[in-house]
This record gives sequence, C-alpha cells and structure tokens, in this order.
Amino acid sequence: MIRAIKTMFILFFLFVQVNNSFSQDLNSCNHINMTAAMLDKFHFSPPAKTSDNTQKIHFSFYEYLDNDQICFTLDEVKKLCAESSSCDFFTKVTELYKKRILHNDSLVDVYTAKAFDFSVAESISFEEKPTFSKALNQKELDERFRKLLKLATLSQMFKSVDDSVRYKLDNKVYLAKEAESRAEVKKNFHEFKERMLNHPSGYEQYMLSLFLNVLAESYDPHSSHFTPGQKERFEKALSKESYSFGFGLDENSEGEVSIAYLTPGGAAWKNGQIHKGDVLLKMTLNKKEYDVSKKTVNQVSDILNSVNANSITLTFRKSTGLEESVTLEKQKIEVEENLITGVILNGTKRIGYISLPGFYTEFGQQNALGCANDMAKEILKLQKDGIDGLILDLRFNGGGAVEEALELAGIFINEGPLMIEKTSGQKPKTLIDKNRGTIYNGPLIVMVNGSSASASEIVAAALQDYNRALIVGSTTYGKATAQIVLPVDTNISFTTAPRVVNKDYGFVKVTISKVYRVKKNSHQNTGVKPDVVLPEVLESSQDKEASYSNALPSDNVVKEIYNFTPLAPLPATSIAGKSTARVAVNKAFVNVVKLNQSYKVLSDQFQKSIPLNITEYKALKQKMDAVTDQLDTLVPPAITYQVENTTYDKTIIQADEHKKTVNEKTLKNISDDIYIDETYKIMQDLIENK
Amino acid sequence: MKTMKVQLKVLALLTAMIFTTAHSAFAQKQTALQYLELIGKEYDKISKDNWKYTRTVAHSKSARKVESSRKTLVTTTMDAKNRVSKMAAFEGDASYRDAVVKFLQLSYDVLQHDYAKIMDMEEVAEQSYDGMEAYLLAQKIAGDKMEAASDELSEAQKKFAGAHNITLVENTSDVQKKMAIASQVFDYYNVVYLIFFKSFKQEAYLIDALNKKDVAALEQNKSALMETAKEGLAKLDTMKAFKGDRTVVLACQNVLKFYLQEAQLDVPLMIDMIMKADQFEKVKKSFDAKAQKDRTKEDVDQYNKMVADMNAASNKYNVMNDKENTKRNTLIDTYNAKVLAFTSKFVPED
Repeated sequence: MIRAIKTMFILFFLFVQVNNSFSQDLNSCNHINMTAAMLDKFHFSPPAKTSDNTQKIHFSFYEYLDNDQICFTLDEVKKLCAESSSCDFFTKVTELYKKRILHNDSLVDVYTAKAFDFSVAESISFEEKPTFSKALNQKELDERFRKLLKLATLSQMFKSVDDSVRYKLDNKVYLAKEAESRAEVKKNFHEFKERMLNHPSGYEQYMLSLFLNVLAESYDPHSSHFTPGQKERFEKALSKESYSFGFGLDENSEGEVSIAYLTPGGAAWKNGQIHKGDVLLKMTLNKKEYDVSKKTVNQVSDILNSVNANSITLTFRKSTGLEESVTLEKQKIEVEENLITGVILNGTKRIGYISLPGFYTEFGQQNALGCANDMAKEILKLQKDGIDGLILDLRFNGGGAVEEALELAGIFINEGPLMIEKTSGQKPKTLIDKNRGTIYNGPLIVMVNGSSASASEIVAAALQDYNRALIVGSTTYGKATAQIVLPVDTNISFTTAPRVVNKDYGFVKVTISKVYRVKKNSHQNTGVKPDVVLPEVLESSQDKEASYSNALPSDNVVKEIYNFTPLAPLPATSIAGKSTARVAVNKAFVNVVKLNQSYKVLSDQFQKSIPLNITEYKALKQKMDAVTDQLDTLVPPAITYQVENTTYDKTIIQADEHKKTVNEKTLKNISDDIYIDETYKIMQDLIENK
Repeated sequence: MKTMKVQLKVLALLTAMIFTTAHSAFAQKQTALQYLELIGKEYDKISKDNWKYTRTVAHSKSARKVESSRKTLVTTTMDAKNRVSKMAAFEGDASYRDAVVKFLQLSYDVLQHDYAKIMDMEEVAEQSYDGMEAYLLAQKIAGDKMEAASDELSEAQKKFAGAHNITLVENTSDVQKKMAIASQVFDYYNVVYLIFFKSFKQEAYLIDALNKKDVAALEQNKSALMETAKEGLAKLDTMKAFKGDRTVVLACQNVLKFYLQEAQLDVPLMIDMIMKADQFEKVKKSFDAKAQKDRTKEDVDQYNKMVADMNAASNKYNVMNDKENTKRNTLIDTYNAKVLAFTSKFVPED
C-alpha cells in the first residue's frame, strides 16, 4: 500500500483542491523561509546552508531579473547579493528593481522620441552572461538599454515581412517601417512596466513568486515553486472535459512563455510538431496577431481563455533556436481513444513503427490503463499483419508517468529489475517489470534524441542494459530524477499528511529521488548513449540537463541486484559501422553535419555581436536563414519502403473523413523522415545479423 | 483449497527435539536429570498437539478444524516457551534453557507466519519477483533458520548432558514414527504443490489483467503462463509414483494442461474480443457523428457488418467463457480432493 501511495506521488502532481490565490497578507519572509524549509526537508540533496550558497541564490535572482543587463550596477549587485538573509535581499532587490523599471520606463520615451540611425556601425552583445565583474555602471546600463531598444525596433521592422523574403528585400522596405516599429517597441516596453508594477497579484507578491521559483530552482533545474493560481491553471488545462488546444504554458528560466506539457490526445499532441520547452513567440486568434514575447504566462492564458476561437496559429522558438509556426484546431480530449498509432514500413522487410510522444496514464484513477496498454494493442495489430522487426520512436518524448515506462519496457523483457530508485533518506529500491512474460520477442530498435528525457530514458536504458533493443539516434537529455508536488507545509512527511494541509504558501515541485540503471550507474546529467549514433539537427544549440550548472551529478548506487539476466549482446559495433558508412554518403545527413557546423559559427557570431547596422544585420540574418532553410529539404535519398496503416486501423480510418486527412499527413511525415529511413536500414542489418 | 505449502520440515523438527530421553549414570546427578526431564515434559505437550495438527492437515476437509488445531499448537508452544524461560539456570548455567527458549520462540513465529520477526522482509521482497516468490522464499528461509536453531539446541543439550555426566539415548517413539511417515508424504506432495502453485498464481495474474482489460498485462501473463505450465508439465512427467500412487501428479497435470490450453487458445480469443470492441466503438462513433443523409451505402454496410460480427464474437466469447470457468472449477476441485485423498491414505489417522 505504501508503495502504491508513493508511486502516485512520483507519477505526477498531487491534486489538492485549491480555492485561494496567494494571500496578500502573508509575510514574504515567512514564505521564503517556509519554502526553503520544505525544499530542505524533501530534496534529494539539498545544498549546504553556507553564505556562499545563499549568495549564489541571490545572484541567480539578479540574473533572472536582469538577464539583459540593463537594470543593476556592479556596486548594487555586489552589495545586494552579499546580504546574509534572503528576506533582506528580497526586500531590497524588490524595492530597487521597481526604481529601475521606472527609470528605464522614463528612458524609453527619451530614446524612442526620434528615429534610430541604422546606418552607423554599432552592435550589442549577449555573449556574456552577467557576472560580478561584468556588471556595468549606470551610464553603461543606460547606453545598453538604448541599444536594446534599437535592436528591438530593428527586429520589429523585419517581423512584418513575409517569412520567405524576410531578409531579402531592399533596406528601404524595412526603413519605411521604422516609425511604426519604434512605436510598437515603445508600447511594449511601457506595457512591461504596467505588467510588472500593476500585476494582478500585486508587484511584491508577483516578485515573491518569481523569487520563490528561483529559490526552488537553485536546488536543481527540476525543482520549482507554484502559486496556488499557477497550480490551478495546470489542473484546468489537464481536464479532459473541455474543448482546448491541449497544451499547458509555463514561464521558463528566462521568463519566456513556454510549453509546459501537452495533454495526451489533445490537438497539440496529435499535431506532433510541438514539444515541451518550445518558447511561444506569437499567436494568431481570429485573425488577430498577439506578440507574446513580452507577456507573462498569466496574460497569455487570459488571452487564450477570453478569445473564443476554434483555431490558433502559434509561432515557437524550438530548442534548436529556430522559429516554427503551427496551426491547431480546438478539440475535446478523447480519453477512450488510443493515442498512438502503429504503421508498417513495407519494403524488402516489413517493419512495424510506433512513435510515442509521452508517457501518459489516466491520472488519479485506480487500475488506470495508460500508454503501455495502448502500445500493447498497437503491437498486436502489427503482429496480426506480420512484421519482421519493430521500431519504437521515443524522439522528443519528454517523459511522464514512470510506472508506464516500466510497464512499457516490461513488454519486451520477460522478468527482472529495470531500474533502481534512491529517495533521500531511504534505502535504494529496485523497480521491476510488473508482468512476467513478453508481448514481442523479435528484433527491436528504440529511436532517441537529445529531447528524449526522463521516462523515455528509463525505457532506453533498461532495454539497452538487457541487450533487448538497439538504441539509435543521439545522446538523450540526461534527466534521471523524479519529482513530487507538495503544498508548502512542513507538517507533511513521507508517510503522513496533516489532516488540514496549508496551501497558503503555494506548492513546490521538488526532486526527491534519483534513478539508476540496473547496472548501478546513472544516466543523470550524461544521458543514454545510443549504440548507433546519427547526427542530430543543430545538436550543439540544444538545451540538455548538462547545460545547467546546478544539475545533480551522475554517480553510482550501492545496491544488491537480484535476477538480472541480460540477453546475448547485440552486434552493435558492426551494425554501427555499416550505418556510419551509409550516413557518410547520405546527402541528407551530409547536409545535417554541414548545416550544424555553419549554424554554430553563425549563431556564436550573432550572440557575440548583433549588428545594429541594418545592412550588416540583414546580411547575417540572411546567412542564418539560408542555413536553416535547408532543414526543409532534408528528405530520404530514395524510397526504401511504403508507409502503410494496419488492417485494423484501415477499417477505423475509412469510416471517418477527418481521420483520413490526419492519417495522410502522419504517413507523409513518416516517409519524409530521414532518421526513420536510416533506422529502417539499421533494422535490416539487425535482422540479417540475428 | 490446499494452496498453502505444508511446512512439515518445521513440524518435524519440532517433534524431533522432543524424543531424546536421558538416564543418569550417577544418582547424585539426579537434579540435572530432573532439570532435563522438566523441559522434556514441555516438549511432550507440544509433540502431542503437533501430531494432532499434522494429522488434521492430512485428513480433514475442514479449514476451520485445521486452523483450530494450528492455534492449539501455537498456544502450547507459547505456553511452553513462557514456562521454560521462567526456569532458573541450572547451577548458574543458563545455556541449555536459553537455547530451548530461542528455539521455541522461533517455532512460534514460524507457526504464526510472522516472518517479519525473523527475517528482513524488505530484503526478501527485493530478491523476489513478486508476492508469490517472496512467500516461497520466506518459507525456505524460515525452514533453514529452524534447522539451524534445532542443531544449536541439540548441541546445547549434548553439552549440558556431558557436563553433568548424563548419557542421552535416542528413543524413537510412536509419534515420532508417525511424524516421519507424514514427513515423507508431505515432502512428495510439496514438490507437486510448488509446480501447481506457480501456474495457479500465474493464472490469477492473467484473470486480474482480463478483468481490468489490460491488454499489455494480459498478453504478457499469457506468455508467462504458457511457460510455467509447460515447465510444470515437464517436471511432473519425470515424477515417480509415491508407493505406487500417482493420483496427485495426474490431477496436477490435468490442471496444468487446462492452463496451457487456456493460454494458447482462450486468451487470444479474449484479446481479440477486447480489440474488436475497441475498433467497433471507434467506427460507431464516426458513424453516429455523421448525419443520416450523409451516410453512404458503404458506411451503412460496413457498420451493419461490424454489428453482426460483434454480436457473433460476443456470443462465441460468452459461451467459451462459461465453459472454461466450469472446467477450471471442476479441475481444481478434483485436484484438491485428490490431494486430500492422497494425504489421508498415507498419513496415519490416529
């Protein structure tokens, strides 16, 4: 029973009724201390309470507030961060930040009073993250702010031009838009002041929620703090009753509005082009375009809730740094429907292909059937039609329910331990395959990439350790930790909850355990290394666990393991050799490698120094676009197979026009995918090697 | 139902200790001998109840009777332990008394199935795949511990006797002889029981998955049941008759053959049924969503065909299900009856 309760905790969020928003009369110092105490109590490895660490947290908040380096001077930063009490720091920084917002707001009018001169040679750099030594004096801050406004105007001037010719027209075209762009920028920055100082929950309370989140994130990148309101939004969006676009929003560490999750089976999930962490830049509802790059998550939610539109066009910045637009139709989440579809790659061999974008389950329900059950059904459908091998695609799978991941791996493994979980203050525990027996025993490949995280890494790692599947793609994200969401109430313990839970202080999502592979090592921070490596598009600019300096380290666990009997090793080396030889002459992959190199050079250059001269800016942007345009041309060099539905699915699709349209798109996406194409060939080698 | 392995090894050990009587070479050592005999008397009471329990297990259909005789044995063991622990040390030497107390306490815990007191159950769970394995492993560990404690007790008794010039004489009593026979019978039965129990549990997992319509679990437990049943049947094939009697093996074979057939033929039908129902639900939804005037002849024909198919499949499934449920019940009842007949036949009745 205890196991069951614990598992539910780890699965996802605790659903506690919340009616109150952040109360105004609660003392911010209490808030800070309670949140810190809660994190200390439950976190897997809370940092020591040294003055050095306190200073680090303060510095992180400064970084968060002033990432553009336009607010605080060197002296101020030094003095503020050195505060020994976080309460005092918070009070002072909140006060000072307000002054700076007002100061910059007054500068906006001054700097945007007349046209910017885009013919002079000047630039702005975002290369350096703020450091003590790099902080500026007031004069330098003001000058940097001017440049920032200039850059914002410049970028705005290009935005109104159609994508295909955005950086290709004559300077005159853009310069003609200078005045309106400048006005827009002016408006945006004034709006920013309004948003901050007249925040619906009050400026101080809003600042407090930001600080508490930075405080939580200082424990590790996956710990965070939610206000009751934020949590309520999560729950609402997860509800299956209402019509929705099926995604949830959050603010990332840069304060940008980003995709927090996709509701399984919802419009965004089915679309397949949206992934967790994508930054929302723009949205169009009922033909009106909203620039959300300077909006808070609350404001974006308000727009989404107030505008009654059945379709939406969203523009995202992907983890690679590229922009992408997606149109979604509002729809009701269909719980009863299978959310995954298996297809057959019909060539010289018949290979089953199933893509799983996330590990879902029916939350809060006993005996819930989730993705493992749906996966089993897909495999049975494929087997009925006859397959020689199976490809399981976990690329861009950001995780989800751990229980489902274990059950899914268990489909391919007879019995035995799959993972080891170590929770703070407890003995490590083996997580086993729940069901004896297997569903599929044939050749198996798991596709992964840098965005395969958490639960998908558990599956890849377990199947790799058992020699059950060949892992193909690029090194995974590296998140081998589990989180729990708890109300900030230190009376809660691992085994008991107080009768009345205090929710006035909001909620923390806290990292309580670390997951180890069955071979006792961990993929935390390092990721799961594929057996066959394929070059990933724009890999160098990807955000991974290791990009965070406070990520928990990779280590080994001490634990006796019973009944671990791996299968005979797969001929990984020889198969990898053949694939490398193929990839080296595959035009699409050759392009990926070239593109990665040139894009890295250009984006480094761009970070280092963004020209504020229109001709230079345009030239650099043009070059970057030329590189990324090539992404659309990446298709398999030749047709190796036809992508076909299972006989079972054909009956269902035939009966529904809408399903027909969606299906055609799905099949096309699969046949155009160069990674699936190469994986098919790897599968052929694997079958021949058996 | 005899779904519990009988821990005859434990019971036999409990009895074996009782029947060492002693005689003294020298009259002046009478007090040491009296001390031994006093403890021996406690053994006597346990021994009688122990045999009663064993006999009941072998002969009685009534679970209530079995349980009541077990409780009597438990109480007797505890009472004996309490009395022995209150005895004074003999001339300052408490080692024998303490060994007896330790052994009786352990016997008590094992009889009560209170395994957590004598082993780290978390560790047992870690080493086991599931509850069934943990249960069997715990029984094995308990048996091993009883054996070790019994050896220790023997040593202590010998040492005590040696120190006081007492010669211990092994004396095989009537009860001990009967316990030895019972031990043989249950050792034989326990081999069959283990084979039975593995498949029995595996089928229980399968039925559970079926009730939840969990296709992943159903399909996996199907393949696991096939494996265990096949493995069990192969083992049963090599088993010799017990004193010319092979009825228990045959009854177990019949149950396992049923499980194998269930896994090979029935479960695929069950899964097919779940999948068909799923498919039908989806097509029905699309069909219902279309206005009547928009439905083509093809739509209507497909829908009607699916309805007919579904009905036919449901009927077939229901008939199969009823038939198999009856068959399973009969086979398990027969198996239980054969087990009881077997133990009744070979274990003495009084």
